[in-house]
Amino acid sequence: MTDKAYTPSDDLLHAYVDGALDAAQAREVEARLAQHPQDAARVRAWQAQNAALRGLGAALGAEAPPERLRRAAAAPAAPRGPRLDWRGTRVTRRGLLRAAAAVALLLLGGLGGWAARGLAPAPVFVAQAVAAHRLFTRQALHPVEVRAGEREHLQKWLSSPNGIGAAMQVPALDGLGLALVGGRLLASEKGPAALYMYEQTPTQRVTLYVSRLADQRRRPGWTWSQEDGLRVCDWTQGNLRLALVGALDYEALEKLAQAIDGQMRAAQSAAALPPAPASAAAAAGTGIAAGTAIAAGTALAAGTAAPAPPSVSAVALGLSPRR
Amino acid sequence: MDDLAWQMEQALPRLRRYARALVGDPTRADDIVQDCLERAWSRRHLFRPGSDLRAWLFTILHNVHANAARRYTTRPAHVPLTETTPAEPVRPRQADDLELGDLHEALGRLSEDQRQVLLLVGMEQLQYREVADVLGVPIGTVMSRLHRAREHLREELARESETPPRRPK
Repeated sequence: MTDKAYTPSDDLLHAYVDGALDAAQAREVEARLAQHPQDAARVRAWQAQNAALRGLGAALGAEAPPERLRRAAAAPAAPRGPRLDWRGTRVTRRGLLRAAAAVALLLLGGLGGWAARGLAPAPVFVAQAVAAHRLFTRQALHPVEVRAGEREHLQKWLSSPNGIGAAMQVPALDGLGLALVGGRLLASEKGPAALYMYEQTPTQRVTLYVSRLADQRRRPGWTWSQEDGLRVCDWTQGNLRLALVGALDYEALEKLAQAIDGQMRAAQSAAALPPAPASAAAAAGTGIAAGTAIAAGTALAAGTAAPAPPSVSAVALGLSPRR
Repeated sequence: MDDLAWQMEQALPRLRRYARALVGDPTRADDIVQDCLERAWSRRHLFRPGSDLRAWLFTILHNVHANAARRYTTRPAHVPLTETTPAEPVRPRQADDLELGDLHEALGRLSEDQRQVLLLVGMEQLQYREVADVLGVPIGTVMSRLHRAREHLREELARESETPPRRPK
């Protein structure tokens, strides 16, 4: 059957199906259909499609629209509907810009080395992080490949040459109310990427998307962006590029990003200390690729070795990086 | 402007169902509709009184969606009806939902260009001229996309009801 090929004479058949013909034209078409059973069969199928599409429309349209959409329809000045915000404050678009500006000022003023670039358009890296976030955070059964219970294995695997090929401790965010769910390895345009997932509850999840910096000379600064209620913080640390994604306000996201960044710096500077005590290195270095952030220090070593509850100390360490 | 508010509320269920059928993912569909409504309010001076508000809203919706899709090319464009998020409990289903599910899935396998035209014509019952305006393409393009969409869908649905599947020549 090569009927799929379109010829302008089909227009009349479509117009017939869609009731766009006057009575005389419709009669002409019906005469043609009586003589061409194949055309008649197509027309019947298309009519059935229309009926089914209307049924689908009725089914999809039957549900009452949510409050945020009713408000958006009813008035121009209505504040932007409440986006997902774990702390329950309503976030408006103007408020977001103010918050972003505040963050930018804070960063420029207070923290040396943190260059906020405002709300830049999302680069591919961020788009991939957001796509991964959306896909995996809604999985109830298989959100991750390796669960938090195997934290040490997760860390070894993702850091290995078969992983992202760069050493990274699994950040600990328990002190900020987020438990590790686990992680997985992903493919991206620019090579492998690691995805770590954290959650407060299964519907409140944050992901950290990490890959090796493609070009060491191009190091994008901290950028903040948002999409469909998700907000993203994107930055680089060492030879890694990171994107933290969650349905959080910028303030909360920033706190988490700072904690992660701080832990990474701490691990790096600890690793850079020339002669680490042999025993500590041996204890912490179990199976981590050589030359890596072995000495993640006692806090992170404790985090991996002890299945114990969240070490607030890890976060405290993260927030005040040793230099 | 109360009149406009009333009309927008009237149009809301159709915008929603169209967005839903177009992108699949309910949350994302609602986000697109919300952006559309906000943009419509902020540009209401561009609306010509007396013209069809619904077609105007579909135009805005389409632009919002196209912009979002351009920015996030890697996101799956269409999520089957069966995917649900933990936050979004499954709604009770009607008896004929299975068929609708098949249809929705088959729609997801059309190209987006074709899906748009088919939904605007078949589900929303816009006139061909209006569809051309909404999508910003010539009417001939609308007709050829409509044709291809209907024929693809006919094949898809036939394949589902008949076994074994026909191999393409």
